[in-house]
This record gives sequence, C-alpha cells and structure tokens, in this order.
Amino acid sequence: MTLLEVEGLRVKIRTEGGEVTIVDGVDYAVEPGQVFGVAGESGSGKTISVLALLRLLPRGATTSGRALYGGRDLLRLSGRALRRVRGRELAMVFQDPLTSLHPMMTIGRQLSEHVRIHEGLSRRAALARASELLAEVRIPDPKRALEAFPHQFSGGMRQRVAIAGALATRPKLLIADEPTTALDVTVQAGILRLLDRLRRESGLSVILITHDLGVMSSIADHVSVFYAGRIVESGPPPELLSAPRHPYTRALLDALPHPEAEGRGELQAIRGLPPSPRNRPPGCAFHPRCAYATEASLEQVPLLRPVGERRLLACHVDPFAPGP
Amino acid sequence: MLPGRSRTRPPRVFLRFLARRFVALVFLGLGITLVAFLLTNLVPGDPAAANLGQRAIEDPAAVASFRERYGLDKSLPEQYGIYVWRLAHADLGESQQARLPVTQELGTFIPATAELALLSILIAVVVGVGLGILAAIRQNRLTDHLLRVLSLTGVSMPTFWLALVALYVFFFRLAWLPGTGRLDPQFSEPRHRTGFFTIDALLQGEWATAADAARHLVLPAVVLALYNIGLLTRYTRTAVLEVVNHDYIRAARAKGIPERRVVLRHVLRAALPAVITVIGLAFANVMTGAVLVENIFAWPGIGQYAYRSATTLDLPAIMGVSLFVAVVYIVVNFIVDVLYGVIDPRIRVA
Ligand SMILES: Nc1ncnc2c1ncn2[C@@H]1O[C@H](COP(=O)(O)OP(=O)(O)OP(=O)(O)O)[C@@H](O)[C@H]1O
Ligand SMILES: [Mg+2]
Repeated sequence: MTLLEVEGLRVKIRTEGGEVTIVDGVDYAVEPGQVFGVAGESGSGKTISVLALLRLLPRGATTSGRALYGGRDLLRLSGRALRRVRGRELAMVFQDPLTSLHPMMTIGRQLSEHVRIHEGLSRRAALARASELLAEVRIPDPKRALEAFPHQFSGGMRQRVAIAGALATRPKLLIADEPTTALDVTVQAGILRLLDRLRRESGLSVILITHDLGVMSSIADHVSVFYAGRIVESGPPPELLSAPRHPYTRALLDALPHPEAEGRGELQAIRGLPPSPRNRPPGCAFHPRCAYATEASLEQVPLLRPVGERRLLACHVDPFAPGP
Repeated sequence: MLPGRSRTRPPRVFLRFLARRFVALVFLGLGITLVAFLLTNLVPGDPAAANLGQRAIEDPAAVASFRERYGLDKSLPEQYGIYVWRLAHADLGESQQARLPVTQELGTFIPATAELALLSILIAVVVGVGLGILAAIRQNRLTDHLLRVLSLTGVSMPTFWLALVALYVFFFRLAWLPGTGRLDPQFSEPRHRTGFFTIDALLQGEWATAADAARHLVLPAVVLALYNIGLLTRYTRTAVLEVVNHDYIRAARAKGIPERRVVLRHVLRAALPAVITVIGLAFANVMTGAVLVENIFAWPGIGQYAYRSATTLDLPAIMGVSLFVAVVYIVVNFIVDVLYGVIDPRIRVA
C-alpha cells in the first residue's frame, strides 16, 4: 500500500514580476517504512514542493495536481480535516533548527502543546510525554530540558528537540527538510542514525530532503533528483549513485567530495548556475549547462520514463545508458 | 550542550536582572530631580511678578517676604539642596497660587488624570493591538487598506481638533454623552478611596454615580486614545508581519495547532516586545495629550493643574508636576524593561 502518492504537483507563486512556476509537475510515491530522498541544488524547489503538501506555502502561492494520502487529496483538505492531518499524521522538521523553535517558549511548553491539542492529554500527562520524547531522541536530562528555552541548546540538540516535537503524535510520515545541513558532521551522523532507528523501530516513513547525495546513500531507500522544479532522475541509491544516468546527477556526484574520488583528480563544480524559476530555459531546463544536449533537449521537455528496475529518467539523450 | 547553571528558568538570573534595572532607576530618579529643578528655575520670568497683585509688587517689603517665603532669596545650589531635602520628606512646598501644599494638590488631581489615562490606554491597547493583528492577517486586502487609512487619520489629526469634533457631535448634537467634568452636578463625589470615581462609587454601592462617572469618562478617554490606537495599529501590524514568516510559526501550523491559537499564542508572543515598546510610548503620549484634553473637557486633573501653574509661573507647582511626569516616565520605562525580560528569556542573560 502506497502511503503518499503525488501526481503532477505544480506550485506557482505570484511575485511582483508576475507569476512564477516554482514546482513544475512532480510525481512520486512514498511507501510505508521507506526513506524517500529528495536531492538537488539550492533553489530547485525541494522545500516548496513539500510545503505544498502541508499547505504551508507563502501567501500568493497556488497549487495544482494531487497528493493522495489515505484516500484523500492533501491539496484539497481544509479546516479541521487539514489540522487533523497536520502534525498528527504528517509532521515536518524544518531546514534551520535555530529558527524552527519558538525562542520565547520553553521546550516543555512547545512539545506539550502539540500533544495536548491532538490527544487531549492533561498538562501533566503531556509534559510527562514530552520528557519521554526528549529521552527518545537522546536529550540528556529531559526533565530539566523541559524548562529550558531553545537558546540554551546547541544547534544539534535543537534539531533533536524539533524532531522530538515532530514525532510527538506518532505521525506516519515525517518530512525532514535538510535536517542536518546546518549542523557539523558528527552531529549530522547522529541525527541520521536517529531517523534510521525510528524508521526501523516504528515503521515511520520519511521524506528526506538534502542536497547532499552522500547523506542519501547512507539512509534513503529511494532518491529523486530535483532540477528546476522537476524530477530529472530517480531510483534506489546504490544503483543511482554508482551508475547515474542523467548528466545532472552525474555532475552532482562529481561535485561531491568523495574519499574514493581522490584518484580521479580534481573536484568538478557544475559549470554555470541553476536557472531561476523566472527565466527557466525551454526544453530540458538543464541544457545550457549540459555537455550532451541535443536539438531535442532545446525544444522538448523530457518526460520522466522508466529505464530499468525501479529507475526513472527524464533525458532525451541518455548518454550514460549501459551498453548492449 | 546546556550551560551548567542557567539551564532551568533561573530565579537567580532574573533577580540579578531586576536589580540591575533598579539601580538604573534610582540614578535616573536623581538625575530627574536635578533637571526638573534647573528647568523650572532657569526659565525667564519673575514668579513674584506673576503671583503678587499690582499693589504688592510696588511694595519692596511684600516682594522680599514673598521671595523669602519661597526660598527665592537663596543661591541656586542651596535652593536645590533644600528642594531635595524636602522631597525626601514628601514635601514639595506650597503652591504660590492656592497656598496649599503641592503634595496635597497633586493628591487631588493625580487620581482624576490616572483614571482618565489608564482607561484611555486600556482602550488604545485593546483596540490598537486588535486592529493591528487584523490588518496583518488581512494583509493587502480591503480591511488592511481601510485600517491603514484609519490609523493614519488617528496619528495625523491634532488631538484638540478631535476633541472639539467629538464634543460637537456626541455632546452638542446627539447629546448622547456629557461634555465636561467628572460628574453631573446632581451627584456628589463618592467617598475617596482610590480617587477613581467609578471604582469609589462601585465600592460604596452607588450605582447611579458610578454609571454617571463612567459616562463622563467616555469622550475624553476615547479622544485621548485615538492617537495611540493609530500608533498601536500600525506598529502591531508591522511586528506581526515580521514574525509570521518565521519558521517557528510555520512549525506551529505544521503541528496542526488551530490558527487562532497560532496567532494569539505564538505570533503575538513573538511580536510582544515591539508592541510593549509602543505601549510605553503611549503613556508618554497620554501625558502630553492630557493637558489639551483635560482643558477642553474641563477634567480636573494634572493636565489642567499643569496648564494653570505654567501660566502663573507657580514654581513649586510646576516642579511638582514635572516631577510627577518624570516619575511616570521612569516607572513606565522600568516596567517596560522588566517586561522585556519576562517575555524574552534571551534578554535576562544579556
Ligand atoms: N515566497 C516566495 N516567493 C517567491 N519565490 C519564492 C518564494 N519562496 C521560494 N521561492 C523561490 O522558489 C524557488 C525554490 O525554493 P525552495 O526553497 O523550494 O528551494 P530549495 O530546493 O529548498 O533550496 P535550498 O536547498 O536552498 O533549500 C527558489 O528559486 C526561490 O527563489
Ligand atoms: Mg529548502
């Protein structure tokens, strides 16, 4: 049973310079207990595409497409139904742990408010629950942490608190938007282990956003690579990362500092800049930066099509197709 | 990790924060007495001339005894020394006009002003903050535009003009509300306890008197509030809009917290320091506005007293009023500072 099925998700935002398409037709499915990775450069629409699912888009944004969850379309929920899904079934951890906790409320209050609203617990029971949650994400001395304010914690600890908050009501799907980007490497590893453990222990599904393919390979079951508001390639990380088919995926991998990459010479930055949503190139949005682009790439938007076992690719050229 | 001591909400840190604020308060208070003293003594003009009758001024003996009586024959530092000494004994001298102790006069005028000012600020805060939130929620929609026009009108219309219009419409034309004073003549003042007629009358069980006192408060309090309503609407709107796009507000929504609660608990809390700053300013505005409003509405408060003392160069009275105003400023500032610390835990440590 698929947990979440996104079809043709499109997000447009009205700005002073007119309406821009930020997310331009995205399809994917998340299975129960799966970590679904979303990779891509800054500005490719990763955050916007998940904010759309929870209806947290900035003012002036319009959404089209479908996002089926438990037989309902998330994009059409409102009022009470939406609030019941938000935070109870779907939860989100935000990109920057330094800004995603309320600076003027104690940790205990922030965690217990959530539990009380969804489960109608008493203040006392909710606080006890909050302290369990903090223990679960390995915050030392949870009882005292309840009384503390966010600024008294380090970034890594705050991200753990944010995760504890997101998991407070045992959601089925956790959306984690670059939960480790702002943190240093050891802390990063700790958070990823935590997500992995929760997935194994409680069957949690995770949409994990990161522009770091290294992080992906260690935890994700399936990876989608975003470029300019679209998915250009997707597949299971071992295959995708060892044999990328899309020139963009390959370029991303080459840009990654790899222990094994040392023999292969210098790090390769991707030439050029990602296009802004305002002036996206026609055809394949990657073509101006692509060494393999052809006539077709300039004219037609390549569609995402299956290429082998659980793999999808959106490229007219497919220069890295395995030989016959 | 957590720093060892300050992990829980530490009363120690908070007490130290309070103590620091308090020391600042004492120094400010001392400075204020000096400034109040110098300002009132350096103004040109001869109090004797302003207060003695024509005949007395021509009599050197009368002038000399007047000067002696008010210590005007001594040097400035001596006068200041005497002033502070008396101040320490709650003695502000005698007013030259009424020949009554200034403290006694202040005691009768301050409650009238306080009742008016506090009600006016309450109105301004409730209405201004409410409208500010509303404008922010309806950003760039019709309500927001209307509120912008309204708040601009509030801050740009001169208070005396608003007062006259209000008097004309609600008293003169519609006769819905009384125009002047604190009570209609058929009522006698309730026995003084707080000096607030509404509260005193309620405490005595004199319902009709309380109602009449309340009706007399409406026009001056609302007129006095209009400027602050405009100010608070604009600043609250800005403060709320600054906060709503923060991730922690988005996070609250993502948790399925009802929108009302998100706005009233999460957004407002974060916007509160900015709003409280403006409420502090509102006190200052009310003190200034009271002079005009009290004179127009014949409200027997400190504003009228100030006006009368200033026009007669009644130095002890002027000093008394300045001191009172200064104390209000200082106390309001102190409270605002402390509230910052109460609301935002990050400030206590700094
Ligand atoms: N409120 C907004 N109004 C207009 N454009 C926006 C708004 N928010 C985001 N965008 C644009 O949408 C595009 C995608 O933004 P998004 O935050 O989804 O990128 P991202 O893939 O999450 O990048 P990052 O890795 O930096 O987080 C960007 O080009 C950004 O400029
Ligand atoms: Mg992002």
